[in-house]
Amino acid sequence: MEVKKLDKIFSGDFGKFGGAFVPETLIYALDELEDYYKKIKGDREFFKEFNNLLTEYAGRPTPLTWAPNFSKRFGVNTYLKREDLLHTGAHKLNNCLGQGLITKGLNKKRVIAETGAGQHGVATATVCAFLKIPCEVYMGSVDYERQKLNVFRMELLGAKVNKVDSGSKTLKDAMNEALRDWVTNINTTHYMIGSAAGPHPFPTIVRDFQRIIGEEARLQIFKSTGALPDAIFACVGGGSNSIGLFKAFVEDDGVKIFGAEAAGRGIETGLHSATLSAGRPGVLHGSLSYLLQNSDGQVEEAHSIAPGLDYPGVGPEHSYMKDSRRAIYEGITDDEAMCALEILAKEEGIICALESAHAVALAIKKVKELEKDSTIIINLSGRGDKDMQTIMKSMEAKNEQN
Amino acid sequence: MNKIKEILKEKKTLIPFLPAGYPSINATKQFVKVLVSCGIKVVELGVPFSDPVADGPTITNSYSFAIQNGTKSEDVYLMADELKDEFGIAIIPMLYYNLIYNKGEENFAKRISSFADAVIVPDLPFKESHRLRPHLEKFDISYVPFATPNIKEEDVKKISDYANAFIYAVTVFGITGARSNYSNDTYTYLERVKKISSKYVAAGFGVSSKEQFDNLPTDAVIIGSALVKQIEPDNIEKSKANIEGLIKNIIN
Repeated sequence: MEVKKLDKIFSGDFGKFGGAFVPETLIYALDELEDYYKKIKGDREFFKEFNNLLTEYAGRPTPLTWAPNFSKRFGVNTYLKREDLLHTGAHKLNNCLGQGLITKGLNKKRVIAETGAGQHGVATATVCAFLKIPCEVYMGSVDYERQKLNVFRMELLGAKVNKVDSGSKTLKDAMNEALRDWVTNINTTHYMIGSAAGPHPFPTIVRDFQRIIGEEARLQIFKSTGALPDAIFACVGGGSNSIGLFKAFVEDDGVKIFGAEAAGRGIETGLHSATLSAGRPGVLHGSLSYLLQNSDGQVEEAHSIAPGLDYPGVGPEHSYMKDSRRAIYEGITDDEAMCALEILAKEEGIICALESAHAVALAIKKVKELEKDSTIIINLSGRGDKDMQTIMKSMEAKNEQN
Repeated sequence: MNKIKEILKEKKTLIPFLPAGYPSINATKQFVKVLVSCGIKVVELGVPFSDPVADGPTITNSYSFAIQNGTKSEDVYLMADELKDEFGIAIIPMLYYNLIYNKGEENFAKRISSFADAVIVPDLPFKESHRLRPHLEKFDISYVPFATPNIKEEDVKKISDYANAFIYAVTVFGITGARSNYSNDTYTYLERVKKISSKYVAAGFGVSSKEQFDNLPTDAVIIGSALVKQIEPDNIEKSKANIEGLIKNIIN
């Protein structure tokens, strides 16, 4: 599968959502990025290089794996899109390779990024090592502690990891610090945003670089079954893996689209990251989108067992898809995600990331509503190696309770 | 004539910024009283926000303190109403867009119309300002556009058309926070904006000294972080003395 062309319409607005709510200083860089992106959209050379990297360096196409035991247990034909098998262990590398080439094209000498689970940080550090670009990654100190292995990986790859101690000390605050760095170093630095969020044109660019997930899955499922799936599932934090999968199926009315948000310890407890289910429109990190906020408009802290989902905002295109009802978003609790992770591990021998486990859990919930022998695709956005410590702790705590 | 323009017409003006509610709403009121006693006629009031991406640690921490102390936007507006009644100064609320969007643009404009002469929104660039400007105009509140060191000549002209009070010229690439000095590029850029635009220009970001106030080639100078640093949350009387000392040193 090759990326031959990108979206026909280039716009920062997804219905009423999107925009570029950033300090005026950044507008120059965002305009420069938009202009450059418009230019390379139709550039065969750029996409030749991008596709070559996706194949030779990243290991695309990733398989669409038939899950026989899971299928038998739940009565639906289940296929797993294996972004966990991509180099660096998650879908994040697709976007980073694309933005890495953009960084080179813009002649920027430095890259900054934010990371929650560490997967985007690792992917950014990887691409920067490969392309020889100095790189700094911002990471909330809570995430820094729970994802130490990924911190080590980033440092091994030559990146500087900056611990952020403000606010909730997670992804939201890492993004605040990265934006502050960008405002200060706008002339030399490209901000490699890792999610389909942030100011225009990032949500569009990130989505376009992640579309490869859905485009491949669409061809692969057709090859395997001769038809499109009945439903597709992905987890939604900021929403890059999910929008990458969803985009290829948006115009296929027969395909139900499901996004799993993190309901954490339960939406009613207030400790969750279910932005689309429990938030309301607001402005954070440059775009108008659904947002977890209090009655005064202060952004609320998010919670999830999965660090990559621990974010109070969401990409603006997901807000549009929610309001237009093209996609259904539901919360999955930490416990439900852990349970799904164990089921997938025991049934199929695949240990997925805690983020992806939310998508698996939502699929398990929704199969009851699907017709018997339906076909579904679940996106495994990343692998679980990075989460072993959290998974162990969670299981130990559960055992102590019992 | 707009009240701020009247003030800026008189002489070079210092516009102090205070984060409202740091360390309490009552303390902020007292600080403004000190400013007025020093001869200040226009004050910028920061409405605390949880994620102020244009601000450095000094202002960010003051906002966190205020929010944790329970300061709400409406508390700030009520205080601003009182300040307006008591001192008749020009007041410029400075706040992030989510606080406006949350209230609804029209409701927001209506609410602040009782005290605000202008409004500054650090994460609302000119290209998004159409969302708010018409509502402000309805209530005769000035929208303050930003100029940045990388601004093009045509953009200075464009924003000048919409600057009813003044243009906020950000002196440097970066976030708020006191800086010891500026490069020659800063002076060149500010002179360029002044030359192209017929509107008043206020320089902000990094101001901390009398020398900077005197030398910056603009009609007004905004002082934020350096002033906030004078506040000692546990000692209001000391904070008042510190504020008075800094302001008097700069404008006298």
